[in-house]
Amino acid sequence: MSDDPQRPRVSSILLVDDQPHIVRVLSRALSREGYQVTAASHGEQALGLLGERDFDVLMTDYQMPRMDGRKLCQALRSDTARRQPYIILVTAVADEELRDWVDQQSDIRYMEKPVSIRQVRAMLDSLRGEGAR
Amino acid sequence: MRVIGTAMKSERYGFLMIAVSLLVVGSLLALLHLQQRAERSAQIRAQGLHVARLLARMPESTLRASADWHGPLQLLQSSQSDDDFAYVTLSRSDGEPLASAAAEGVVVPWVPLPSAPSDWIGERRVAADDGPGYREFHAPLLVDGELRGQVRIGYRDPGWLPDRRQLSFLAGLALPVFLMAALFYALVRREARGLQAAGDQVSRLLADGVSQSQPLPVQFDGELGEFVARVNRALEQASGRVATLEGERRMVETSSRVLVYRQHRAEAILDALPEGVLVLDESGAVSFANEPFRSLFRSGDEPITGRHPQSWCEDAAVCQFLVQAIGQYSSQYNGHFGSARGTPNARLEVAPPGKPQGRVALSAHPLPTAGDGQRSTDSGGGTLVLCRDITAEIMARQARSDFVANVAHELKNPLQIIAMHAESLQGEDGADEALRIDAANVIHDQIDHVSALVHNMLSITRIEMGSLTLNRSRTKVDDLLNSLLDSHAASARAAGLRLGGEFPQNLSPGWLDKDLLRVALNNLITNAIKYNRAGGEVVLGAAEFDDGIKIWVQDSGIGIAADQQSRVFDKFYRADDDQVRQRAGHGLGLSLVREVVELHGGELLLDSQPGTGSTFTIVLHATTVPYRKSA
Repeated sequence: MSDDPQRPRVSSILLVDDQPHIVRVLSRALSREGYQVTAASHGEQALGLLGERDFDVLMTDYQMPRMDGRKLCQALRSDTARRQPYIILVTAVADEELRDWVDQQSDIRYMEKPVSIRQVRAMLDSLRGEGAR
Repeated sequence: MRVIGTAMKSERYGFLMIAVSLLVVGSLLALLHLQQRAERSAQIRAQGLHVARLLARMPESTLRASADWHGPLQLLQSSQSDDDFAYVTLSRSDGEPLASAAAEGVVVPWVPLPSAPSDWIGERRVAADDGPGYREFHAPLLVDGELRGQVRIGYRDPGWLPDRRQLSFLAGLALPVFLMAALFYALVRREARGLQAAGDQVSRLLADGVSQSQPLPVQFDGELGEFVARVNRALEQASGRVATLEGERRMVETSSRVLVYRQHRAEAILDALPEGVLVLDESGAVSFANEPFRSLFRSGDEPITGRHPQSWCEDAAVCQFLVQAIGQYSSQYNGHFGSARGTPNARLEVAPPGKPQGRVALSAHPLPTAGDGQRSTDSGGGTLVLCRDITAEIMARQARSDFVANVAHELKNPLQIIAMHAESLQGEDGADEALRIDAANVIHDQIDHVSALVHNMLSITRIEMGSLTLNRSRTKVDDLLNSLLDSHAASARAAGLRLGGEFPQNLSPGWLDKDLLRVALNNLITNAIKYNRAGGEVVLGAAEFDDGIKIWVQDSGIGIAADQQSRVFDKFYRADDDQVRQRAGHGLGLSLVREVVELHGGELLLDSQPGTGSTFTIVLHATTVPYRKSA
């Protein structure tokens, strides 16, 4: 993975999921690709980490204890002073209301479970392939 | 009384009839008498004048014959058989009698000759000293043209009363007339007696009622008989008509009683309905509101029948809804409490007064107008408002929607974990022995998880369809509990919880469906772990008692609020609590536990304090757990 200045930087990823198995296997796979992966098990923990440093990508589960994925996104977007990461929201089921909300958030990507490692890789590649924001 | 009155009246008519006949007879006799008197008077006048002239032409000497000689005067007097004759006299012009002949007891009065020659001949009235006076006819006695005296003949003035001869004649005439009147009256009375009896009968009929009438019992011949027969026929017809009317009246009375009964029954039926029913008439006033409706929308006991919604409806939205419905469906609504704007809503969902958590659905329907005994299809006959409590329905709808999301989550999560681990095994992780074993374990656990969920769903579906029957076998309860502790040890440890058992190791075996009981206890333990706090504990306990065995799962978790405790066993229900919603779940677990326990004839008890924890206890009775003997 090269640091091409023409391309957007997609290297640090904050992975948020309450399922430790998913975090573990996905972290391992993405680390091998050269991403710097940091893990959090719920929204509050993720916000804490986001307060400490910047991430290029936030990949979060939707249904989580304490703070769900949507609330995490809203908290992040409301902090306009900070550098905004790409957001990938992963959910088991998207009811109409959630889908409408996601449609209104133009900069939030959406993936429906089950998501394979290959699909995550492709999503990250597509982010890297986008023009500067 | 009326009959007696009629009889007296009839007697009066009888007396009146006699009096009238007497009057008629009297009048006839009086007329006859007057006519006779007039004839007699004319006869006397003709006779008197004639005789006076005849005598006046006779020579004076002849007339003046001595009293012992039967001269013309005595001859005249003796020839008069008439009682009326009083006297005949020859008197000088100054009135002094020269010769007289008079009836017995008559004194010839002294009357001078009138001075005027024209009055010398004629008739005059002469007063008597002792009586009514006389009617006198006189003529002048002329000798060689010289007035020498006058001839006077007097007759008694006939009185107004009849004399004896007349009296006997009149009596003879009056008697048969009177007798004829009496006879006529008697005949009339005889005929009238029948009429009287008929009248009395009619009076009794009027008093007793025509319906019990008998034909008039009187037998008559001729026209009266025909009349009575007609009256009888009329009575018979009237009595038949009255009987018909009476029958119709009874039918109407019965029908109205039946209608009242049916109305009460219909109202009782409507009151027993779970749905609220409100009927508004053509003018928009309340015709009927059943008990559920009143209890939903009326706090007081004040009746609302006959009142327009504006005067009793407290909820503005409901009132507006009713007014719109009335404007649409009640033809005689005069718009005096507002007009309906726009198309009326066919349906309204509101929280009922005093129940902000509840939800009721109101729907308005037109009622047909009154047709001619036919079912009318024209609306405008009023408004029917149905009111349904949809709180449970909405909650169930929400619960089902939540269920789909939860099941999807519960299924897709393990699938994703399995997929990712399988994918990783295909890559570099597959070369690493430790990672390979770890991935295989994770996949195995997740398959167990999915399998348990699928098992739960299938079980509850089969229970619901009634196709699940208990497959009982001799079950060692302590073995079952030990195996449950083993299988949950890892997940409890991962959650940072202590999982312990509190049960004797020599529990009696039971005649149970081991697999289902395992599913039920699995669900309870999974929940106890899921809804717990870090550092908490879960206890699986069991104890025998006289009547059976209790198995409980106790946790030190978040607990269940009192108002949620009755609902946690409902299918798809998940408590409306952030602490619950943060945890994945499908709302089927406790529902299935309850079904399994009930299939075993047992009881499921819940003791919970929010913030302290919950204890679920399964009580299985010996009667429903046969073969329970010490091992």
